[in-house]
Amino acid sequence: MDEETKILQEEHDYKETITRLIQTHQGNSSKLESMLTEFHPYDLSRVYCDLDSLTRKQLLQAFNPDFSASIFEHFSEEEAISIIQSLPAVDAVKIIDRMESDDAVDLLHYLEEEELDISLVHRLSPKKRAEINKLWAYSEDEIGSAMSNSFIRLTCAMTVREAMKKVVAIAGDTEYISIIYVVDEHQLVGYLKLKTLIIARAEEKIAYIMETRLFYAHPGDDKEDVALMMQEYGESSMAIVDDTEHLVGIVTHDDLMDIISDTKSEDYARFAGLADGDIDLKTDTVLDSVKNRLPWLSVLLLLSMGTSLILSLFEGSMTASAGAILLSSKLAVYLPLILDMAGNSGTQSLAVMIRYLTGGKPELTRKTMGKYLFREVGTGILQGALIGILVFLLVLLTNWITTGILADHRSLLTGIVTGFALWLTLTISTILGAVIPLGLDRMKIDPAVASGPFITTITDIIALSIYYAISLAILLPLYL
Amino acid sequence: MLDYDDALVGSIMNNNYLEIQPENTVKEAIKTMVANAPEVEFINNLYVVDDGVLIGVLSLKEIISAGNQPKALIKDIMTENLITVTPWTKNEDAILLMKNYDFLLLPVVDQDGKILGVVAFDDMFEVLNKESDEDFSKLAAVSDVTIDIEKETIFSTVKKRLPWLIILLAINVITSSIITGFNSVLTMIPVLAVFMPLVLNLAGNTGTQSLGVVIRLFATNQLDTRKEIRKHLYREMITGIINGIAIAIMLFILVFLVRLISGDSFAHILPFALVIALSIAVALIISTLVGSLIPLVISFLKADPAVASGPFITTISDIISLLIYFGLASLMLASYL
Repeated sequence: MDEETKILQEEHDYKETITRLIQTHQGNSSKLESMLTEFHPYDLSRVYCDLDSLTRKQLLQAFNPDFSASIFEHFSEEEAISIIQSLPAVDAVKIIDRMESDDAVDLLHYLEEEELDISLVHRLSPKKRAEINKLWAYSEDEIGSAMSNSFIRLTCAMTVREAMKKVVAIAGDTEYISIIYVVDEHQLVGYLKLKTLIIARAEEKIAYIMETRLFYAHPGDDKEDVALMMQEYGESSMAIVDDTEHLVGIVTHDDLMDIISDTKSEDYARFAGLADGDIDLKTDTVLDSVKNRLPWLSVLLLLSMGTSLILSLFEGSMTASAGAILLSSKLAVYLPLILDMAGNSGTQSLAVMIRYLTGGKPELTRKTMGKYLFREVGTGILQGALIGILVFLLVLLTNWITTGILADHRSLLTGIVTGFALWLTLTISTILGAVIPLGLDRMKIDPAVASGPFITTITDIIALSIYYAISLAILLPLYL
Repeated sequence: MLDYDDALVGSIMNNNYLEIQPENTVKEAIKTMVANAPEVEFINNLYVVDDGVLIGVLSLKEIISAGNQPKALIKDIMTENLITVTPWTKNEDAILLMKNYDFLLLPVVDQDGKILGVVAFDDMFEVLNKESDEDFSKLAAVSDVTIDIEKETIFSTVKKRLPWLIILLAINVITSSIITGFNSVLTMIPVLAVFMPLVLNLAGNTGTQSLGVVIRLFATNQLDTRKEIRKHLYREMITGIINGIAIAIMLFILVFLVRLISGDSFAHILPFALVIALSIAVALIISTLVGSLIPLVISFLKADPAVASGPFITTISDIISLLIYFGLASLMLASYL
């Protein structure tokens, strides 16, 4: 089966064919162009990036700007920047002018981020400039930045015949035609699938066949929220309207796919305490890898200092007498175990909550939230108790092995204190693992910010405070 | 239909697509489309099929634009450079194709090029969600992170989490025995306990980070060859060394400040801060490697890679870090005591 899959995939690798076509027809760019239009612009963009810089320049200059633009839209951030810089401004402007506005804005944003010259925006056509200006205002997290304007608008007074005529006339130049939006003086009043239009009777009015149950988002809405909404509603596009319900653009399935997979790797990266989840073994250097991790580690180092500071507070009572020193050395024995277990249970409930909040599940109402948290509290108490009992037995067992006495007063009390402290910390850390992301979500902060390492560090601080406070209060008298 | 592994395209494909013949005219094709449109969910692509074999595709846009030449034959205007998947393609790879090509539908063909069905973009979202759930479950040591808020009870939750916690507890017995072994050092230098949680925590965090990277690399098929694995491990080692040294320097300064404030003398602090800085450097380097090596070893042994969860790595790195910390302390501070 694996062999078959491989063969099929090789068959669909058009790179070689494209490369050969370019090599043999390089001199005749119009013929080359007509041959290359048979391929998907994504494949062309992959081949293009492997060409030498001179051929690249020549080709993009020779091709029809529309065609060049369609290839351009499939470049990655770095590729687009390096290629646009290698082109004379006049050609770059021609291409950007033909790109979809949202892709053009992305490109300009990259250039700006890299602190490169974006003055070529002034040389774009007035129409493109206006569209870019409209999108420019939105931050990368807002759905407005991913809006497209290349779709079909109809009015409700049109008949199906008139509508079809319009669709046939402009379909070729329109990026997205599967869903058609119906407006009345720019106001969104309905939508219909092209499918519906195709099978409708010619004399029928659009107003009569369109769907009026509207789904839309506002351009300032968070990308991820809109993506979740679109998934629920299951259509391949969604309307974006302004405050007066005027249709300003649409978001389509391909944007949705990008948003979801970006979010997915972003959430995952955060959970693991990484700055970036997209790792490419081929291009990433050691420096990228350090940059990806060291900032988080430094933050966690500062947070972790909290554990040392708290332990320093207990240091006075722990070193006050020979007995106290003996006790503190005994306490240290179970310290890593307690901290580790607290961190583990916190990580577990954190993962469950983050997936609940970001995985397109129904939103938590007051009632379901109560139920959710009640379940986490119950889980924490129950598994805390079980682990606590196990550790109590472990303490007794250790004492028996090291001293030969199964249960004296001191080891019994040590076991109870350790088990109890563990029960309490496990309960609290399980609750925290759920409450922290939930709280972030309520404050409109992405809950995925709370990473596993972050939770572990917080639970460390709480766990050792509880452990030392209880132990010193109850056990210290026994060692004096 | 055969049963396919739910990580493969075969499990999510459906038969809901439009088929036309190469010898059809544009007019006939439009007629077929109109007749079948109500039953077909997405008509964005018309698949040109000859004797069961997929030989071309026409987008809805193309057929509509071709409406002014109703006599044209489909085979003359169709796109022949197809992008297809097989039922044995991994969902992850199909998603990548859809993303790169901005497709709404992907045709599924068998080894002879016969069309079997299509996958639609909305099925892919479920796959993406499921993948995220699996990644998180793996990283957090939970059997399954998904919950149904109506049905989930305390007991079902405990069942998913407690087994992992008990395994981790068992491994933690090792940490306790290590400290018991070093008890004499600890009674002589009680302040070692103060920085123990910090050293363990940071080592655990670096381990989790490199585990996160390895799991992503596995998921994106970037660790298939020996060469890739070697390259990755080499990079992890250097990353560990750089991070280890950077964190060690920061920690050295912090320990110095904290101990000065709590009234320790300069001569006292210096060797102590050195021990901590040195242990964290070594612990970070080793934990970074452990975080990437353990999942590799586990997958090499063909065991369930889920064993290599964040908590598991943290616990292993705890054990190693404790040995380093107390080992270095007893070596370096013995004379000074």
